[in-house]
Amino acid sequence: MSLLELKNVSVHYGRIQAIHNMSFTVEEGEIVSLIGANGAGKTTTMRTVSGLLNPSYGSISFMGQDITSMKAHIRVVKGISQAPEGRGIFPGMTVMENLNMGSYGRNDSSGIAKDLERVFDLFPRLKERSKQFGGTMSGGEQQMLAIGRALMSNPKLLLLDEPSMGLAPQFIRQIFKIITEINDQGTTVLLVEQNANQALARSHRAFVLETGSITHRGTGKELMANPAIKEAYLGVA
Amino acid sequence: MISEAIPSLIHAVPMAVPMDDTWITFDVNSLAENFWSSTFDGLTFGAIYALVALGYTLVYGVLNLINFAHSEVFIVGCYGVFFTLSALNFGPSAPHLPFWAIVGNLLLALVVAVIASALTAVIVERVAYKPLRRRKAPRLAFLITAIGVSFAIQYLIYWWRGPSPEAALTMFRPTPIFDVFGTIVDSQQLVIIIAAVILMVATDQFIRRSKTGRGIRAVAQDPDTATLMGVNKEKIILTTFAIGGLLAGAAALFYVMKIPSGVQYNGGFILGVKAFAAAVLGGIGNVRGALLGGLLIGLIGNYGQVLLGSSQWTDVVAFVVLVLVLVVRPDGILGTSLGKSKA
Repeated sequence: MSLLELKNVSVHYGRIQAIHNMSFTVEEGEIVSLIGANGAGKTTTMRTVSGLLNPSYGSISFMGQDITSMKAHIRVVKGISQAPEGRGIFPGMTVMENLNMGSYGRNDSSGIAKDLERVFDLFPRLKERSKQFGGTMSGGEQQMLAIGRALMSNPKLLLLDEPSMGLAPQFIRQIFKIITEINDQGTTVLLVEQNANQALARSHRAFVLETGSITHRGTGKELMANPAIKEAYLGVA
Repeated sequence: MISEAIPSLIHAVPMAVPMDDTWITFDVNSLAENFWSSTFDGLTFGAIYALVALGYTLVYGVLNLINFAHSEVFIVGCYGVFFTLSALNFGPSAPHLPFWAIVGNLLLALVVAVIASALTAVIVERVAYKPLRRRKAPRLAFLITAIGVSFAIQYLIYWWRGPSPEAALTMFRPTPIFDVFGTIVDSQQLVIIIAAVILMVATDQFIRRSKTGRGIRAVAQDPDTATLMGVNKEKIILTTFAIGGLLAGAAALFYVMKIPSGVQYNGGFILGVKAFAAAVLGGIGNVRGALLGGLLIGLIGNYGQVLLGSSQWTDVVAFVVLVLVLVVRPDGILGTSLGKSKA
């Protein structure tokens, strides 16, 4: 049984179809990447998995349970957590309040305390800045906060939408290193990226999205070796 | 309506001797003489405006919607007070009851008013606004709906109770409590101000510290991300309407206490507009802004009234000041929104 399975999923915005008949799985313990250009449907796919968008056709299941029509806030409790595109930090809340929002759906205070410790271990910077307002932090710090906050629900599946967007190169490397570390600790990761180099190098498997359809699939290494992908996404002729 | 409220104050004001034939006479002496009494009275009204303003501001915070039906949420609370106290044999003159009996009766009226108002707010949200949200209606549709609901409730009450005001209700005779700078503060002012301040602080702390309060702020700042945190947005919206209604119900008790002359079907309108103005003055969406705005609207109106020698000026002065403040600070004194502005 796959952790996450999308079967023939189509998504529409009004009359415009953004995702065409998409099927893929994410197995427990993997890092899986969706790579593709702007407008290929990466974020739409993520929002469909997290439940902010509903598919017009097809089905989604998580740990064997059909979640196609499950509300987004319940999917969080079930174990799907998303660090959204643009980070989605609550600007008027402190770092600590933002982290507390991540555990909003939980009541096990000892488990929450343990996860907070884990987040502070991964991102010591967040501990130093815990009283600072989220809106006043740098882009890299906000991305750390977005990932840390997403971990506060103790997810089985972590959805990361463009974690490297707008970050300086040394931050990008650091973020990807931490993503691998989170995965080593047992959290499955579904990653959307434009930075295909880093994403493919860190992923067990990956899918290439073009105009709402999956055009290539394979392991990270296979896709990195594929000449068409090299040319289109890796900046190598 | 406010003019009927403060006859004692008007009579206390020595009529301005017109210096000439000018239309407006500024009576600075009168303001100086009556400064403290108008301050306490202004704070009393301001506290009531502030409680109602919180309802506008909280709903605006989570939905970006001016809930024009909030004035009717308030008036339903006034009817709740009226029916409860009438049933308890309160009438135009203060009842001869022992102190604790009066306290008990007023608490009962408070509970009824709070439930009536909160229920009205929740029903309005479920019947009128939620279907629009589900259909992703444009903002103008919400605005027109809000105005429509406001009229619908007004005329529902009209149809039920008729056009004339209900019988007057006096809850207790105000007795002097203490003396500040030669001005008597009476028991009525004291009860209203203290109770309102307790409610305001409680609301502020609830929004700031409680989990639900954090959920309300999250939905206000970024509804989609709030949902991704596991926040049930619909539940938060409903809770927000309920809190606004609850505060409007409490304001209703204080209002009927302050203005005993009968409740009327359209009696929420002016107060609603002033409370809305208070929310805008302080910064719409901002809890502390609503509190500040309410108190300021109450004070400024009262000062203006004494300065200009007639209670008809109360609202004029309050709104002129509102316009002037907005020219200088378009987002209101404290800026908009439950933390949005701190980005």
